[in-house]
Amino acid sequence: MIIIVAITAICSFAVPDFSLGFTLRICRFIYIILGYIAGFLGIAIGLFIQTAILCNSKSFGVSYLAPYLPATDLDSDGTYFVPPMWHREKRADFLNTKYSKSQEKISMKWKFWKGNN
Amino acid sequence: MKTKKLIAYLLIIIFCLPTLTGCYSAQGIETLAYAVAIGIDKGENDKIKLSLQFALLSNSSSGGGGTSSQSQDSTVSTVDCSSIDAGIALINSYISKKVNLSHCKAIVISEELAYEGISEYIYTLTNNIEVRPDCNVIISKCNASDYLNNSKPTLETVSARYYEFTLNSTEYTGYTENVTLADFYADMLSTTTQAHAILGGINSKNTQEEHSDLPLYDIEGSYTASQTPIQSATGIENMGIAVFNNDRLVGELTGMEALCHLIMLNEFESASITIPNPHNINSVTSLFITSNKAPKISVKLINGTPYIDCYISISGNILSLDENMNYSDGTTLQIIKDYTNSYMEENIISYLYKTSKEYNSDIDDFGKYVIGNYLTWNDWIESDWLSNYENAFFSVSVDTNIQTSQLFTKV
Amino acid sequence: MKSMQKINKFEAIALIVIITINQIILNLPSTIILSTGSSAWINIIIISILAILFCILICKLFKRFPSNDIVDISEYLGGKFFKILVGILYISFFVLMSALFLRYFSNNIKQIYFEKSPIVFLLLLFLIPISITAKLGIKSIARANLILTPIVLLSMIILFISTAKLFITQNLFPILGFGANETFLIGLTNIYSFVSFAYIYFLVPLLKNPEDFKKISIWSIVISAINLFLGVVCLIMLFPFIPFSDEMLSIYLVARLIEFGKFLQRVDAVFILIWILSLFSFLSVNVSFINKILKKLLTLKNHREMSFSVCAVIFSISLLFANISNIKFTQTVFLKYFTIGLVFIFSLFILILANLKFKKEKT
Repeated sequence: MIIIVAITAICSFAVPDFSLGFTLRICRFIYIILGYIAGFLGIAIGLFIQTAILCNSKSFGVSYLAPYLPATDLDSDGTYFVPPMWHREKRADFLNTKYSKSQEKISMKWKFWKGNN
Repeated sequence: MKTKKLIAYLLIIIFCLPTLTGCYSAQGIETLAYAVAIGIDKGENDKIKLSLQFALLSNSSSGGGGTSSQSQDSTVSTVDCSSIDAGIALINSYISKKVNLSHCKAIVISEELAYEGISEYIYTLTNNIEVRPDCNVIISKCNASDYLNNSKPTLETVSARYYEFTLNSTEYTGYTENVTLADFYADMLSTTTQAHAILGGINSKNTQEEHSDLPLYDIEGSYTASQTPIQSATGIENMGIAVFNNDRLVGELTGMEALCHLIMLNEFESASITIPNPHNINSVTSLFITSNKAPKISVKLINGTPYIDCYISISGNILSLDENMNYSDGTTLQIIKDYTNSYMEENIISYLYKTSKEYNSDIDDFGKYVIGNYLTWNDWIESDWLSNYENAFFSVSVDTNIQTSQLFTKV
Repeated sequence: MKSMQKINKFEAIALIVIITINQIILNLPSTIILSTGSSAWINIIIISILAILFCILICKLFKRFPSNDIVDISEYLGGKFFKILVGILYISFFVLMSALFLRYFSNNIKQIYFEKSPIVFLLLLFLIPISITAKLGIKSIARANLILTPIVLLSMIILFISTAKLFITQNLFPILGFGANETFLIGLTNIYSFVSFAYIYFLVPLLKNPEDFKKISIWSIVISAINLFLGVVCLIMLFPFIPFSDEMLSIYLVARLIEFGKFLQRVDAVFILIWILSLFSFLSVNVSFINKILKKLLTLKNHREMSFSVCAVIFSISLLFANISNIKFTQTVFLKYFTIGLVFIFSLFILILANLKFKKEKT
């Protein structure tokens, strides 16, 4: 029980805004109750239902777990390994844009091309 | 709408009722008594005597303190019962907390009981969810309850760590082996090897022996548990290996034989041995040997009898220093190398013939080199390797690589 | 657009792979080793090759019927009566599988963690979240599955690698195990371990790009086969007694052996948490597939509301098993022949006949 409170307290540091932390406080209570009902099994129930609800919800038409979860394009830039700013050539997939390319392959022409532009 | 709301509230309350049940099987740590070791002795009329050694948590967490707190570090409860679980139920009704075997570090079985067969106890303990598969199996030469009563840690305060650390010594002495419950269970059921366990005992004045009839260099390896002549010994001693055939104890091995066993199993890490001194017949030279490569073992079946050939490679450093010896001289090192080779070969061959002819128990798992020759399981079972082992012939060659002495090569 | 729930390639692969992983957790490798001995790894290679060939055959047969699953094809073949027959067979198959796996796993969890709780409590605790998540639809279940499947796969690989120092390769001999007959001929019935084919049959209408069907099915069968092979080889090399003894959860025995030094011991609780999550995925996939079949059979408008009743049926059937011998018998004998009969023989029969009928109608 105390372990659940401790883990959620440490994880709450990952949420940047103060008002976004209210959800975490409510979820903490739900997990404590689930842990009391059935121990590890209760925590697993909470994790699974929360994952399923997160996968289901959409915000402004874009799914909640957007760059990760409809995993359509493995080459897109915004998932687990984000390249530096000058390397991001593609626009985000969940926006369903007309043109997916946002910058050319070598965007810092002043650095890599010899001579005058 | 109002009735709908009322029904909704009622339904929510009804669905929240299961939360009041709580987790039935939740047990707080303070309600459990952790058994650090289990001891099983032979009782009268087919009963057994079960002993459990409990760790006393409050005393062991204080650490340091005077000698009075250290003597009360653990308590042992012994009960006569018909089986292990019946005994645990009886002890549960006697002590204030519930017995929990999750921290059990050692299972001690007395020699008397082991001669009659211990398969049912090992199966029951392996089937138990709480007992960890890496707790040690010790066969004690005295009663198991005396063994548990006498295991008083002198260099640490927590008796659970004491059992772990006493068996760490196998890494640098090689005089016994760290046998776990999982190993024992697998070996007992295996068709390629036989089971073996750690040999333990209480070392006291009347059990110590002086093996003065043996040559000087053979004395240190010739003791088994409880025989080592340590002055003012107060506790338990683990030395040697208990050899089983199926599930019955058939014999014991001394410290040096346990070292040979470790070498054959490729579990040997390091040890110090004594060889006869080439220049002085009345003294010995000590060497520190470590394993160089895994032993190359080949097993051939010639007319149905096994012929086992082993090539062992170890490397050593010289520990003792003598005014007649010059260790930077190549010939001296060669002489010491030859002495070590023949000393190790002699010991290993006598150990192998002892397990084969005297005990007929293949504890070095030679069967696994033969099982590849058979196509189906029935052929393998018909060849009956474990009974065939007593007809085995051995040839051993040891190659020692003597590197150097420690700080001085010549006095 | 509630009825247009499509899943993409990776979600489909994860959906099929989680089925075999759940079988591995619930003692399938141990059952295979009991029948073939130490040659189980040869047996697995043979049945994997057979499964891949079967998969290619199925994909060819499905090509003529885009966005039709096997219930639609049986309607095309034999009319409404045949559709209802096939639908009921598959519903009973999925219900039996869910009930069996649920009961077996709950029994094991009860032994390890909940000794005094009644089994009804545990079964309800599994089924109530399933009925909640099954209402969210196959899309969110497939996405949640895609998060969980790599974690479960990784935990399996970590399990096998961490115990690698205890492997004894000579346990793989004698090479033919209990005999050539058991390994090659009778051992072919071990193809029931690829029960994921039953789910592949229903996969086509769910896909965003039906052209990917062949790739998806072959990839998922290959990953399942690799997992099964690893599981079997690891068990044979670790435990020499495994061809003879019957354990409750053999993977749990492997997890108990993991030890890194003095501090990282007894990590089996983490693995049990991961396995509980994978069982949740499996059950919710089953319930949503049953919902889909019911929708086709009864032409329901809102099929997801059937989740509660389906879960109630699964609950009552999982209570039917009196003790462990009933469960083991159903798992090793009844379900084996039911799977081979329904998934491999009967459905192949339907597909071949439907293709012949299509050819005849074309000419």
